[in-house]
Amino acid sequence: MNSEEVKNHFAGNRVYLFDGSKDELNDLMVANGISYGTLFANHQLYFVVHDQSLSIPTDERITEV
Amino acid sequence: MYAKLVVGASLISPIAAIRDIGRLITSASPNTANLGAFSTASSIIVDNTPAGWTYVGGVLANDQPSIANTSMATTLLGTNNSVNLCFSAPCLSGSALKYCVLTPSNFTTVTSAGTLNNGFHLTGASNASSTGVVTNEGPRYYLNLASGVTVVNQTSNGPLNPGFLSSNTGTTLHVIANPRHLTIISEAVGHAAIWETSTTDVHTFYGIAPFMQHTMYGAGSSTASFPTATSTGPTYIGTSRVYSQSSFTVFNVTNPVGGTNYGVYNFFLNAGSGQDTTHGNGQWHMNSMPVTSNQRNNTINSAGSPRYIVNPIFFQLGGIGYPVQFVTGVTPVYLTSSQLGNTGDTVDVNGTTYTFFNVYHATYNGTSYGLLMTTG
Repeated sequence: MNSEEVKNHFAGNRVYLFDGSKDELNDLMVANGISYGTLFANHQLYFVVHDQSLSIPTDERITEV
Repeated sequence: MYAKLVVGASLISPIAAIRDIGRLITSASPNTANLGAFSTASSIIVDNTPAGWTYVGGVLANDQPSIANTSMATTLLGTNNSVNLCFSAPCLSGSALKYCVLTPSNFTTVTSAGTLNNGFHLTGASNASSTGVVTNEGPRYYLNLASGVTVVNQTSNGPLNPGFLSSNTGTTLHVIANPRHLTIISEAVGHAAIWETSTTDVHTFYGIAPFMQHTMYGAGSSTASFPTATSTGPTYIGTSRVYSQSSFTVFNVTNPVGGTNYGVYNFFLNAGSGQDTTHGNGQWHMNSMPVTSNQRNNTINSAGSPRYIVNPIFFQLGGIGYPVQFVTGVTPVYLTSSQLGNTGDTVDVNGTTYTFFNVYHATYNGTSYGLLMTTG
């Protein structure tokens, strides 16, 4: 599953790549009060935030796909 | 635990409704004193066996670290608030917990006069925090909305589909729970449930909690024919009614081939225009009940007398290489036709007494069905 397929998987949502572990992502999201969904594919951790009103925290490990 | 919850003369706030349910499923002694919103005069705790769920947390400070008390003001809510209550329960095997989330439907943000103006959702999740941060929440479902109605602040990862759980006047909810499941049946409308399943070696290898989120809508069509089986003749009671607006979701599943991990996996979702296309249909075979008009859910017993068929529930995540998982046998539930009797009637299934829930709308009964559950 490449990044384009990942975007299709989460159609209609902003998709981000996280350069870290699931636990690190969870720590970051809990600290910022953000519920999220994940997909791990091709050894890469993607996540989405369905609530469009929330701001994604600034973190060097996060890249929008 | 089985609580029949009735909304009284005035509609109640969804946050108050989910707090009531939350107190009941986490109480060591469920009783009507847990209720701050549902009518204490009309609601009944039918089975006060503790449900065995644990409160994890919620978004509002008033719901941390425990659910607000029954006297808490229940005015809901800013339009941008994502409010919830989160719960967990262990599974029979493995150490991973199953999670469920109760969420008000943000009804204040429905931008047109849809039929839903007051409701909530039951979803599954793979994790939740003490502050209500949810990881991999399943899709939320909305009651029928008029064509063109939009809902803002849609925070789930499901399309806008018919939902089932209203807290309006006239609503009766049957809340049944034990450590294996939480099932909320909206009388004559449908159900939303978190059901533990049997586990598989794949679950063991990856440490996955074996459970599913399941919703089924029982008031989706005005056309139906439900002749009761009265003879051994070819009386069909089936219509193509059951799966037209249903969803089946599992969480945190990994495909052994390639290692892709799906936080949320909708293995079958068919709700009209909301049909899921991102995960692929056909990866289920929930061969639990005949669904087409040439199938029947009645049979005969050994004496030739008419008898309804009671259907165990099972499925397979065939698209990602999982063996069959059984719901029935872990969660005490069978699927049946509607109109076997009245809600609350008891049915003997292989020596165990089940309670029948008749999801049958007087007018819109084309997708009606029944559930059999034990209540303890």
